[in-house]
Amino acid sequence: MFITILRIELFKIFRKPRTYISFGAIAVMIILIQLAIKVQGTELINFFLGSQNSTFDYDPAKILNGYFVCYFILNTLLIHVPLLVALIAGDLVAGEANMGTLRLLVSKPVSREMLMFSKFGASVVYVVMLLLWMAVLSLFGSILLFGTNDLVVIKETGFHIISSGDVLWRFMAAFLFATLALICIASLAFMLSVFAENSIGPIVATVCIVIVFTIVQQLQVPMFQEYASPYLFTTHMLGWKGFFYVMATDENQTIRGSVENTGAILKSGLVLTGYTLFFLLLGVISFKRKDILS
Amino acid sequence: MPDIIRVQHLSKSFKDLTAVNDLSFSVPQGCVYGFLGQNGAGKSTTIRMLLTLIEPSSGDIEIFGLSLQRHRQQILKNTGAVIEKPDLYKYLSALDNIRLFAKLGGVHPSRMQLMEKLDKVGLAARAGSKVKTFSQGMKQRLGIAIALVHDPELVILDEPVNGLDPQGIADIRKLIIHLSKEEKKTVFVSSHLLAEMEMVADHMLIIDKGKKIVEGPVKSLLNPDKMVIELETKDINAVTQLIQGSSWGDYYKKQEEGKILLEFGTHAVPAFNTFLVQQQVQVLSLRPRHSLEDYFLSLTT
Repeated sequence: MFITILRIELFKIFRKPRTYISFGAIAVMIILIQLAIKVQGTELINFFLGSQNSTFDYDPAKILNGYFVCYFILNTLLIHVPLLVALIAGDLVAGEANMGTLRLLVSKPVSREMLMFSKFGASVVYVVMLLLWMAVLSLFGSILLFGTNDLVVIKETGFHIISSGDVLWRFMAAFLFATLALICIASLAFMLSVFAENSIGPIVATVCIVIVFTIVQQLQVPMFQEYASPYLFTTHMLGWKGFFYVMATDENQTIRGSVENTGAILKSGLVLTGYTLFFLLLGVISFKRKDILS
Repeated sequence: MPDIIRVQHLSKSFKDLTAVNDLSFSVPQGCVYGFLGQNGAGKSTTIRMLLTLIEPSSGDIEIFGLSLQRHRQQILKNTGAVIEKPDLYKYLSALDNIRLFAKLGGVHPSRMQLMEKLDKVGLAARAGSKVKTFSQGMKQRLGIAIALVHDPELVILDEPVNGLDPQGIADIRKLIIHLSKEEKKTVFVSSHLLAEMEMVADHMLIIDKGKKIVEGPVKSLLNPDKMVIELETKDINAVTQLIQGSSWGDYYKKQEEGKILLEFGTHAVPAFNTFLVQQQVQVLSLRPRHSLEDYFLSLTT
């Protein structure tokens, strides 16, 4: 029955015009970034290198390759994609309540838990498809446009140079991690959706929570840094960057296949999974007890 | 006939409001059961409890002899419902909507079978059209087709004629009778229109403020010897005085919305009409009224 309802939910999601807004928005943003880098990429590289430009002996033309463009796109877009995920996940229950179809759904011989898990399953499929779309356009699109070379990752304290043969798996892992992060956002929007009678509320609430948490996490206030930031899911959503921080030898040569802090990535992954399960279970339990009055 | 639905001491409270208060009733198999009450009487809350949309505060519900709480899925598999206005997926076609709900109901009919179901409610020609292009009546008919797609034994219709034109109302009436008499289904239908229920229902339950007022076979409940008669005339005050001063004064009830209401059996209407003619009263209309308000009035006087 789970598969039947999952297919029904996916059918409904992908027959809604609003679903394609997200795919369209991602395509437009990625193409705009790629075009901008194609036209003014060298200036962008010089801007990023800043004061390190004089000490860093590397050809900007080599830095400007498909991997770098994809890494740049991920840094720029992964902050905004939660909004696009909330657009669908926040609508899953509240949208049905608003349309008046929730009462018909719940009066069918399907348990409420099954209905909720299927709906959430559909939102997970949507997130995966959205990120696949993003991966195809940003990674393979950029490789087609800019070619491949070593990836230079610029950090506050310096940069890592990852050889081209050691990059692709890192992107795959980063996209997988981003999927986990966005599923966490989907579970938050989904849980909020249970308590609302129209989808605007949960969508706006999800975006507001993400913005507030991000601001708290980015404020350089010691109290927030110590007591709040480590526990916010938004902090751990950036865990994907860890795959691009590599270990180096004493001669400052990066070690192929290495990751600087595997423990931090695992911790972030577990925190995100924990939050996802918490939001999902809270949503399911609340829905099970909810009187359907819409 | 065994009872299909048995409700005992059912109550539901929302904070300070008691929507349904110690309601008990039984629905015999194969009948059309009219569930009557004014707006806000607790009909929809009761129906939502029958369909497990709302958890009762107290009381028991048995359907098909099974506890609804313990055998929810088994019961709902054999129940079809239209709850208030039939809201459906507007961005999907009629065929997609009925197919989707059929699968949720646990059946997987072929396209041809679904088209037959749509044809039964006169929507086969619009099967491919999106529901957002449908009129209220068409949506209502599609809602009923969806309620019947898995061939349930019990059909629950909540205010099915609301917002329909006279032809639509007649069609629904015909369908309810067909479901009961030809297909031997039990139809539980709620309404605030007494006259409508009188035409289709075998049994009737009337509730007010969440409490049962009366329950039983329609024929025994609607007494033709005690009907509210509505008289419309030009000079309402003078005619009221005339009636009150005559032997018809015993039957006078009140003035309401520019009309005079009296209560007597329909057999006495011709005699009353003769009286009005003799008194040279200019009658605009004279007819029996079938409203719940009048029925409540007749029950309490």
